[in-house]
Amino acid sequence: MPSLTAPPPTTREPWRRVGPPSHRPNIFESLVRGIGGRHWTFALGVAMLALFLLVLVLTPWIAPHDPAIQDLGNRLAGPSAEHWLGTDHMGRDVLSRLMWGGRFSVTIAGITLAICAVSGVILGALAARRGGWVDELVMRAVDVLVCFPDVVVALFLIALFGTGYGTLIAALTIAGWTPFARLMRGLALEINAKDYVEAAEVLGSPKWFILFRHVIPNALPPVAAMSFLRFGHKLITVGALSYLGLGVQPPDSDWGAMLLDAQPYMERAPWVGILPGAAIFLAALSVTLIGQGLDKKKKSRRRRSVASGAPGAPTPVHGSALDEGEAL
Amino acid sequence: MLMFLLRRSLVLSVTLLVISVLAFLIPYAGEGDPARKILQARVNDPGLEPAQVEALTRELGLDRPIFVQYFDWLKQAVTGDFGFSYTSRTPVGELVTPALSVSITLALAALLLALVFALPLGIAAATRRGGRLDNAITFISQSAVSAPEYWVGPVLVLVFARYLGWLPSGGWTGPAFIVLPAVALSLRPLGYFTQVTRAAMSEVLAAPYITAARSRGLSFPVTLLRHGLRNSMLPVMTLFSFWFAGLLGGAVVIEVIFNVPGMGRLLYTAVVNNDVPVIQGGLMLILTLAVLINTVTDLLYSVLNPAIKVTNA
Amino acid sequence: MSEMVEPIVDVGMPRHVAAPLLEIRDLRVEFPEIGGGPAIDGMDLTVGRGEIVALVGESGSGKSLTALTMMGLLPPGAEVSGGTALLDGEDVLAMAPKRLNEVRGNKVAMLFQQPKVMLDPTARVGGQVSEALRRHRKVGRREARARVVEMLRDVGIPEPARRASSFAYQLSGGMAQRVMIAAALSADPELVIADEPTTALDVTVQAQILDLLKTKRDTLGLSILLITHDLGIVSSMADRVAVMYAGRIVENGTTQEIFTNPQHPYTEALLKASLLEAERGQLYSIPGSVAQARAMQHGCRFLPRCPKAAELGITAQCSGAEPTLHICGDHDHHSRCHAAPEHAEAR
Repeated sequence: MPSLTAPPPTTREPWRRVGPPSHRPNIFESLVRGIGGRHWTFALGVAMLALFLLVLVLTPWIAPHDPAIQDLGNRLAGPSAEHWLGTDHMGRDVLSRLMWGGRFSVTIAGITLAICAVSGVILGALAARRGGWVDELVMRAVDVLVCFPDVVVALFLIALFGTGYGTLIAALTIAGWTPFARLMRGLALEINAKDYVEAAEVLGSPKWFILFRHVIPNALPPVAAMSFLRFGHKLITVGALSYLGLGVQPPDSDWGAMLLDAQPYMERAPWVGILPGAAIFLAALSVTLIGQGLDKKKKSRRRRSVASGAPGAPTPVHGSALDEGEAL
Repeated sequence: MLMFLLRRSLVLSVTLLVISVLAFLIPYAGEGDPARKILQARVNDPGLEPAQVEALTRELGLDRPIFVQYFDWLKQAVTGDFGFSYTSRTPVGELVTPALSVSITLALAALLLALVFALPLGIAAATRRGGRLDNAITFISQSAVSAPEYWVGPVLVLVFARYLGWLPSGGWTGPAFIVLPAVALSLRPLGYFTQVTRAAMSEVLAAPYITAARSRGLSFPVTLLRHGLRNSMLPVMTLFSFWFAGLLGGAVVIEVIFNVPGMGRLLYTAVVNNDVPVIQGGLMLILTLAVLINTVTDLLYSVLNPAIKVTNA
Repeated sequence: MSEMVEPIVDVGMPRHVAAPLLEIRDLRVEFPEIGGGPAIDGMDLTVGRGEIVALVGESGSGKSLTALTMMGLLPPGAEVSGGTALLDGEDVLAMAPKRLNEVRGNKVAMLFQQPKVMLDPTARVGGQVSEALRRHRKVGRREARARVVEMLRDVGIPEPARRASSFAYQLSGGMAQRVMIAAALSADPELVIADEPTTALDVTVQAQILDLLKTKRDTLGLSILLITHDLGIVSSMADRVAVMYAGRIVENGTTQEIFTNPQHPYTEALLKASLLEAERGQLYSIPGSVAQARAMQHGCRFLPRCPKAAELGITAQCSGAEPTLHICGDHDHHSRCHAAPEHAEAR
């Protein structure tokens, strides 16, 4: 025997680099430190979103004008030193209205997103954990609700209850929780089957401990990625409803409502009808870039772990865990 | 398979039951006398005297318990009879049928357009994963997905209808009228289709049977066409039909912007004018179709993909 | 090194044939992005016409990579960094992609470890069997269909006409491998590279598949490069054996020579392992791993796992210089071990 004591023979393929099991960074680490390892579009998304949020938070202090003050003598004016982005059909400052309107758009999208994410995650985890009829009920509801276009649901609710913030948020939530439930159920089933969770169960760890120590930290990155992706979708849908005059109601105004107001003047003052839409587009793009950046990182990590875990077996390349397409 | 069918039809019937109850309750919501609203839908005469209302209420059984009325309503609803539209004074069925065919045309035009561009883009990205082209295509798809159609639409109108004058800005009286709404509507599905094609195709290209096909001397493009496409198309087709079902009634904004007489605009104007019978009929039809189309898609998916049986085993 | 090349040229060439069908010399394949040294590092191997050559070694020694390299189907990230691989006198490594497509399936075909996942799950079996035929032999659709049924019957598939329209999931592993064999042979290749063709199959099916391959060799005059880690299969199938370790050949020779008179401690260990397993159902494992060997800068790559070096007290020699692949015993027998007697034509 050689003096060198060696590990047992392995069946690893030589061209696959094998590392220690990777530590799953939490979402803050991902956001702060992870930018370096990601595509530059991820960093772009983070920068754009940060800029948006900063401006919207600071709006009351930095908005150059009162968004409601009309100046009918100065309607549809082009950009100037006084009005950087011009004025709208009532002579109001477009930049200030964009800033104040953005607060509505982003807040409503954020609230509905939070409700969707929390309820979806809870229902999905419950379905996975309980199984049986709970699982059946939740997943069949998902099957059905996922087919309902948000705008149609909104019209239904408006027919029943009239317009209003409650209706708006409900309309975006009724079908909006389903992608989260689907994702969380899948993740929870996957995590539950992991050896270390089984080990923790055998060792008698309390359920809440397993939940907080193992399930949530592992589910957080994909749920965060999904949240960012859905956030863009919410922004667009909120805007659509406002554009139809069914969302944010006057005197409040958001980007969608601004677009609606500007329609008759599209030709005379295109900037009034283009800027609010551009704001929605850029805000939605920023979160899409972040969401897909997070998702991509997650996938490559998973693939590596699969590759090193089961040599010889065909390596599954996961399609996006996020139902990217389910966004009507 | 039989279990699947049974389960799905159960889900479908429960869904329809819930939707129909909610739709039935619409006249009871909001202001105004529900009985009057219901009568108005039935007799097509907005100027009823109170005495006539009372007589008709008794005659039509609107004073009976509400669940009895529900079943009466449902009985008529399943035959497609939702009464008369308040605004146009025509039976709801006569409004809905042409609107649906318009929406189907628009949805197909938009989605096929999206597919025509998304397939090559997605495949090109998948074959050059991580390369510059892949990055560019991914960024394009992310932008497409983030572009609100009610922003793209008016801009298209501004450029192609107002400035250039090439295409009509709205209406629905000829093939040229399809172009702008279809383009505006196709952008977001284009982005999603591209992403799904890319993901599916990358997965397939890494599959062992691709190596096997190559080992028989098939060139890469031929392998891609013969084995790659077929295997990666199922998720794309699923998404296609998902979007199709969604756009039948969900293309509200575009139909409103471009004045397209489809289901979305019909429903929207009905809601704005509180045209109860049209709302009821339109919602029932759209939501039923949405669930039905997706159920059929799921069914087809498992029939068309023998591989599922392997992976599930 | 240069003085080594000479004797290898005629190594393993069956006496009755002039030039070998496949002749790999000094092949090097690397994964530049991953690093860690070449995965295949100066490999030499020849396969004569009508010959079955077994390439044996542990997982990770580079066997499958060799197979894929010979097909011109390198996995992503792999790069050939040196050597030649003459197939019928033409260097596979230097072929243009177009020429490779002409050669694959036509002159050289491949069999894989897991036949079921090697078949397109959404396409019928018959179409895949006829692929090489239609690609290389300009056969029409109708004629191809008739030939497919013929070929499927030929590889022992019952009800071949019905099977031709089956899908992969409807086949057993053994059936699928028969289908893969029919597909591989459909355009009459001269060389078949079989990468662990029976590893994923039941033992009884294994024997049938191997029989089938051997029959095909006998009737069609095929050459087969059989990649396996199962020495039982080697002894029943192969004319010659090449033992691969850490990216290079450490010993080669006729099957009989290798089994009766192994000259490399790694071969000995492999034999011991398989004997123990066969006779006592006991598992013998060679201490250490291939991965370690790749880190070695100089000296014998097997040294960290070698029992012989310490036994003979030649550790210094072994760690100082890497042994060359030199003739020992039979003139056809080569070993890359300092302990192997270095005399040509001894017997």
